[in-house]
Amino acid sequence: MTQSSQAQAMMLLTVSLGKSGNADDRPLSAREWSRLAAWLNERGMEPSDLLKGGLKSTLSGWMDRSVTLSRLDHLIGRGGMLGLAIERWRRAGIWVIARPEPEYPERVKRRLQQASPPILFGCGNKALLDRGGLAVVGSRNASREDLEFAENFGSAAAQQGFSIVSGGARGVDERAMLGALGNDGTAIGVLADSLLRAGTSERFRKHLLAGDLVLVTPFNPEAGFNVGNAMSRNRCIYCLAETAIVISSTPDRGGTWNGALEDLKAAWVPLWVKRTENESSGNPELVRRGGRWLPDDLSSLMCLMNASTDESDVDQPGLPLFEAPQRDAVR
Amino acid sequence: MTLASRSVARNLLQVALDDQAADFRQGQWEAINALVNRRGRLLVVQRTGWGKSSVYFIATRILRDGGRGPTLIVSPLLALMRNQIQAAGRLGIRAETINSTNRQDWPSLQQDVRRGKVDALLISPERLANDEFVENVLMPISDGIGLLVVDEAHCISDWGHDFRPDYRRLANVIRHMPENVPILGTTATANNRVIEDVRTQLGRVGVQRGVLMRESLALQNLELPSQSARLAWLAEHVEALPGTGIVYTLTRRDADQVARWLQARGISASPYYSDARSEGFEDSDSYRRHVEEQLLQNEIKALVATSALGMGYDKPDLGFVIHYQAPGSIVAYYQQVGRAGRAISHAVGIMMSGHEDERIHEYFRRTAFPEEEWVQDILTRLGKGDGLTIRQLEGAVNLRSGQIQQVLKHLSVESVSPVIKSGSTWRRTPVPYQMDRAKIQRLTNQRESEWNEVQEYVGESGCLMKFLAEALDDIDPQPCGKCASCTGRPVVDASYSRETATDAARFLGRSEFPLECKKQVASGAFTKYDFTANLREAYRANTGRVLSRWGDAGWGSLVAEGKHDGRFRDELVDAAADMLNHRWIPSPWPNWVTCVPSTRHPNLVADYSRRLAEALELPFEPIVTKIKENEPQKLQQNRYHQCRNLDGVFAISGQLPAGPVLLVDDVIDSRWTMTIVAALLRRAGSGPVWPFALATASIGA
Ligand SMILES: [Zn+2]
Repeated sequence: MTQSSQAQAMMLLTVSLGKSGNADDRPLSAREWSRLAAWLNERGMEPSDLLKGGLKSTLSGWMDRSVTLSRLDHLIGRGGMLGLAIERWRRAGIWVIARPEPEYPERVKRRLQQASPPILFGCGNKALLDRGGLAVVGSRNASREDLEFAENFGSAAAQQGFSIVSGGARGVDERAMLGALGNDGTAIGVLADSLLRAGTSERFRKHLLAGDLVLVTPFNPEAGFNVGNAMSRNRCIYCLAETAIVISSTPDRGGTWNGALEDLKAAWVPLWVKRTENESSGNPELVRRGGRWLPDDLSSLMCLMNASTDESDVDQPGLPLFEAPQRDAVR
Repeated sequence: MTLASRSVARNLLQVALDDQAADFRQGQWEAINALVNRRGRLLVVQRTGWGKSSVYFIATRILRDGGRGPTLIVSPLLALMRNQIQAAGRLGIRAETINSTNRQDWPSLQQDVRRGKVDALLISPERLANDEFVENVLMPISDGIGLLVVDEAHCISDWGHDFRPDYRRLANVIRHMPENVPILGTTATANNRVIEDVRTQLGRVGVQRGVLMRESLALQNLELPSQSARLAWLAEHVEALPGTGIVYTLTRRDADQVARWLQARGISASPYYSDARSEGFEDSDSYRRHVEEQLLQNEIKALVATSALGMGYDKPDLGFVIHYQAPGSIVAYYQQVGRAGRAISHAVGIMMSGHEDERIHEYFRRTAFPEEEWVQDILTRLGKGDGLTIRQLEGAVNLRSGQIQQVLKHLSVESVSPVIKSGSTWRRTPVPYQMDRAKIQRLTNQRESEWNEVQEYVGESGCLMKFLAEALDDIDPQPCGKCASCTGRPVVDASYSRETATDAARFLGRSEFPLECKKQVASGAFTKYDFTANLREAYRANTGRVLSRWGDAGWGSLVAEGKHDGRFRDELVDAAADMLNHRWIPSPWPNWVTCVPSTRHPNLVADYSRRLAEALELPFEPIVTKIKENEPQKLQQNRYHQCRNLDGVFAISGQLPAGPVLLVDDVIDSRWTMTIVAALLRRAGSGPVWPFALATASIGA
């Protein structure tokens, strides 16, 4: 399986392939990429056109403060490096989905728009990406009670036919996912780092092989942990799901807290918050800011979906990226 | 976007060749044009000496002047040939090699590449298939590769006679490179099927074919089935052949043996094969580079080489290529013989074929792929955790380390693989895996039919060059007018004297070789004997001797016969005594003889050792006994299991005689038994131990 030249061009421009010493050579952010994609689109061009002929003539008239021609020239010249990197990742069973491709999860594209990751790396069953499900988030150092709750919640979701969407990290994430997977359920893990390692680890491997699990990441599959990446990964967790449950949170800091606030603000999915006795928990504050207490009775998780935000509110027709189907090709 | 015109490129050619009148050979400019002006992908099929390096160096110069990054050349050759370096130098191209011999220079080379000071970088396909090298050395400097050159590109095809797993990896890398990286593949040997396969593997690649026939080469076949006859012929005729050349053998041990024979007959010849070593050289690479250079400078008459030599070896005045044994395919033969006579008017290509060829090729075919059972064992084991090192795998599965390596190599060149190396551990990926039996069968059949074609060539009565050209789908094969068939008279005289043949037979009977016991044992394997991983100096055996290889010319077939009959013939006693007395001459000389006991054949080795002791006029003392039944050692496939299987099995009983001892065994394989019995003897207070075995079971490929 070879990548389309669209995906190749997008990877060249947006994926970090190694330590880049020079800040001017860093890959484009999702928003930077979206600007360039829209510009190309307006001129009837596609990302793969950047691979042909001279960049200068292809991009004549392109003006952007951060996305300079020399930065693009450097990025697009990384073909040899890309070949080496992708060969290794493919070998480990990792696939790539670029934003314009039909397999790219619809929910993410619809909710994040220009901020949606240009490239998703993953392994396991791609079809799960469009299954939606219940996002489960919580801080890394949750209490034992919270961890047990996460696992029980995962198994309840599995029994009622829902997927779990989580971050794949140790702690709440992993317990919720394994709770579902251990009960013949399915799960989506959105990783902030080390996809290759996670995909080849004992805890996930058999579920990946069985087709019950998909792991994805917007970042280089061998990248190490990075706070910024972890934050932006959290968005994908909400946006792949139909509803979200915060198990535990620390007020005013950490990925869980910020991610939950971001969801409340953007209203991607309803936010449910687990009740807690713990006085230092941020959970009550999240409810004050618009979250809702998670009902004690979990026998019908369907009700968590019902309070769904009207998704038509989120759609913003009129943005160039969403105008017409043929334009999807350049998203 | 045009970077350079033909006339600019031609000027560069004139500079490169230091010849104001030089013009492009057919196809050279077309290739340069496609690479630099269209960023194309091209497979060039041209015979050796056509000038492929001019193409990629001129393309490199033009691309560098146009602001592009350096050229990456992937070649099995260890270094650029001298003429190539000179041509590159005249173009102001700094070409550097990153290989195992210059590891200490890697950091500074990396830095130079990053600073844009290096214009062309040469690496081997083996390096490219090494995950650690790619990650730590190559990746950081590969972000601006301006041109990728793949030398011997036919190796990418698994239809090719010498498909190499490392090239499969390279093909996968290329498939994932975006179209803005220009790629040049070169080969001097590819028939239509191989070309088609390379095209499929690389995608969107143009093909350029030249004429492959070599006009100055005179071919002849010599039927000399016995090794002694072939050795005799070589001894009497090599010196008179034009210039200097190569003698190809099928196995490493044949390369060693033939080289030693030629040396003994006063002909300067050196062995060459992957991993060939010699005293005074740090490692195999530096030894091989040294002898490559010696042949290049005509300082030796011949290299005696396996197929490891030839790929990319470009010596314009190579005078002869002789095959001591028939190669496995016509394509392989053409590639090897085609190295001769490039820039001289007369060269000869002689193919001898022996009765051992069939057996060796059968062995190659049989061992080309790992057994499915080994694959399953390893995948099952890796599926149970978060990865294992090779050493840990050896403890976990009963496979030889060579078998484990073969399995991992086989699996890890799959484009989507069930295993991946991460740091020093191998991890199971989330990829289902089924061995492709149909494909293995197809490739095995393919190799059989290639071998049949070689036998047709051996019996060919028409023009030999035309036969080769047709097999290679050359454009317009014609009778050559130079070969033995065309001229109706031999290119070389087939005769040899009986005396030389007798000498050769005697030489083959004296082809004993050193026996080195192990110095380290698997840790934790000897709980009863309590040997530490690093075997104490005082417990180690001296360097011993092995008389022959199992079933081989020389004594090997008598050993096989004796094992079958239950008694080793007296000739083997005489042969061993002769070797001890006249060639080995161990010092201090042994005071007594003992042997490795066996419960399955209690008398075979003891009986032989007693007779050998008599011949040496020494006492035979069978004081090593077997106190525990164990599984046959040959079923133990790796060091851990081989060691475990010996723990507590032997004991020293009775009075230990004083002084050095000759320790005898019949057929050895992994040498563990010898190592352990020697250690037990020494621990019990014996003098130095001299190990001796009648044969080794390995084929020496
Ligand atoms: Zn002829």
